Amino acid sequence: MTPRARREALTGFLLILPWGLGFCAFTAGPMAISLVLSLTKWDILTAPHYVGLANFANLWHDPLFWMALRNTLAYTVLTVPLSLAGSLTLALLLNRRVPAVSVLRALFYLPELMPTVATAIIWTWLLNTHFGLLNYLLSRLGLPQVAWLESTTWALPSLVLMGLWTIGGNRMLIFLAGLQGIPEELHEAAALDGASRGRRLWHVTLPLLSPVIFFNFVLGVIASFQVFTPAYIVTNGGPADSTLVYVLYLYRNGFQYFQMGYAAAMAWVMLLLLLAFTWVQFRLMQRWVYYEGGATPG
Amino acid sequence: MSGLAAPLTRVRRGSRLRYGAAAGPVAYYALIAAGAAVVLLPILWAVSTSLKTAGQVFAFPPQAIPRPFAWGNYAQAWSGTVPFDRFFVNTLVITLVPTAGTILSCSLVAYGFAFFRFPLRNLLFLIVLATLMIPSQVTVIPMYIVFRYLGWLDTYKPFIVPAFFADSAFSIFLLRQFFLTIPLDLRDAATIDGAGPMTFYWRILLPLSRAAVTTVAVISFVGRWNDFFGPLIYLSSIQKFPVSLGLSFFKTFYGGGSGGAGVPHMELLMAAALLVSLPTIVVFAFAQRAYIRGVIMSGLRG
Repeated sequence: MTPRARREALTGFLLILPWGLGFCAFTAGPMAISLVLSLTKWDILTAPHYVGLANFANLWHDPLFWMALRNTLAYTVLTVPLSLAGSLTLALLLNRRVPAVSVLRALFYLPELMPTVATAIIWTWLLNTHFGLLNYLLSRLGLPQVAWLESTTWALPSLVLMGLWTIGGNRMLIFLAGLQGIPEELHEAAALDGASRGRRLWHVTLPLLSPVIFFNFVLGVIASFQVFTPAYIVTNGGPADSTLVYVLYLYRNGFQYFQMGYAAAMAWVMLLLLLAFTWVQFRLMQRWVYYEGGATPG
Repeated sequence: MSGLAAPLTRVRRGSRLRYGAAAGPVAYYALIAAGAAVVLLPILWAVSTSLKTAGQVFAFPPQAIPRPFAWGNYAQAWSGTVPFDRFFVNTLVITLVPTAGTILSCSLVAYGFAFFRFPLRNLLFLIVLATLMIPSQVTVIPMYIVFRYLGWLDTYKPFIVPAFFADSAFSIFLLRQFFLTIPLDLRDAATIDGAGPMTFYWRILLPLSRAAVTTVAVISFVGRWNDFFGPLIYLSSIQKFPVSLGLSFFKTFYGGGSGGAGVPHMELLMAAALLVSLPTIVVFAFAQRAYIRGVIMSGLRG
C-alpha cells in the first residue's frame, strides 16, 4: 500500500467507525446475548440459570405460540399480496403527467404519516359494531353488518384492512421511483411495434420493475411479521386470542410475565424463520427477477 | 440522472398529457377520486366526530356535519386530565435530537463507504444491508436488560445514544447511493485546492446532497415521532411519555374501559388522535418535494 492509499483507508475506517461501534453495541452484541439468554430461565429479579434447549422445547408444546404464529402468518399472507398489488396499481396511476399529480401523491401518502396509535384509535371507531361508519355504510348498501373487532373471524381481517390503508405510503413511493427509472424509449419502441397498453405493462414495465417488486415483497413480509401496535391498541390480542400476533405474545412473555429466556427464544425463532424465508426468496429470485445486462443484484 | 427526477417533481402544463387512448381522462380521474375518497374517509370521519358534542357522537344514523361545532373538544383533549402539552415537548426531545444524530452519523458513515477505498469495504457494506432484515425484536430483550443495568430505563438515553452511532441502515444506504452520484473528480479538485476530507464533507458534499439529507431527516422524524414500541418498553413515568404512549394512555382513560372516565368519549379520542398526527403532516408538507426527489435519486431503481 502506498502511503496515500494507507491514509485513504485510515480515513475511511475512521468515518465508518460510528457504525462499527453501534453495530457491535446495539446489534451484534445484543443478538449474541439474546442467544445466550434463550438457553436460560430468567425473571430479571433473581439470577438466571441455564436450562439448555428447554425454552425451545416448551415453545413446541405451547398452544399460544402456535396460535400466535398462525395468526401472524395469516396476517402476512393476507396483507403482503394485497398491499403490493394496491401500491403498484396506485404507483402506475400516479406515474403520469397529469395536473395536480403531486397533490394526489401527498394525499395518498397521508395515512403513512399518522402515528399507528392514532390510526388504530380512528379505525377502532370506524369499525365499531353498533355506531361505526363502516357498518352504517354496509347497512345502507343493504349488506349484512359485521361484528368486526368483536368477532373471532373478522378481528384479524380488520387489522389487515387497517394495514392496507397505508398502500399509498413508502411502498408506493419506491414503486414510483422504480417506474421513473424505466427508460421512456422502451415504451415508445414497444408502442411503435403496435403493443397495446396492457401488453406494454406485462412485457416491458413489470419485468423491468421486478427487482423493485422483489425488494418490496421481502421487506414487506419482514415488516408484516413484526406487526404489533394495531394488535396491542385495537384488540389487545382478542377476542379469544384471534389477534394474538407473534410480537404481542413475545412482548407479553418478556415484559408482562418477565420470562426473559422464553421471550429471547421466541425472538430467535422469529429471526431464523425470517432468515430462512429471505434465503429461499433470494434463491427463487433468479427465476423471476429481471436484471438488466445480467448484473448481479446490488 | 436529473432527467429521472424531473417528471416526478415538475408538471409541465404546456406539454401533451399522457392519457391513454383506451382509458380516457374521465375514467382515470373517477378511479383516482374513488381511491382518494377511501383514503380520506377515515380522516374526515375522525374530524367530524372530533367536533361533535358527546350526545351527537352516538346518534344513529350518524350525521356527517356536527351541529353545533364543538371546538372545545380540542382544548379539552389538549389540557384535560392528560397533559398533552407535556407529551409534545417530550416527543420533540426524543424526535429532534436523535434525528440530528442519525443525519450526522449516517452521513459520515455513508461518506466513508462512498468516497474511500479500504480493505473489507464491500463486506462491511453488505453487513449494513443485512441489518435491514433483522427484526428489532431480536435485540429488544437484551437491550432492555443492558439499559436496565446501565440505569437508563425511564430516561431518554435509549432513544438518543444509539442514534449517534449510525443505527439506521436504510439511511446509510440511501445517503451512500446519493453520494455515489457525485463525481470523485469533485473531491480530487477540492483536495488540490487544499480542502481536507472533513472540509469537503461539510462544505461541498452535504450542501450538494440536500435532497437526500431531507429524505433521511423526514424518515427519521416521522419514524421516531410515531414510535410506540420503544417508549412502551423503556419509559414508565407518565410525565416522560411521548405522544404515542400518551395517546394510548388517553385511550384507556377515555375509551370507556374500567378505571377510566366511564362513558367512552369518542370526540375527545378523535381530537387527540388528530392533534398528535399534525406535526408529521406539517413536516411532510414542507419537505415533500425534496423528500420525494431524495427517494427517487437514491436509486431504488433495482
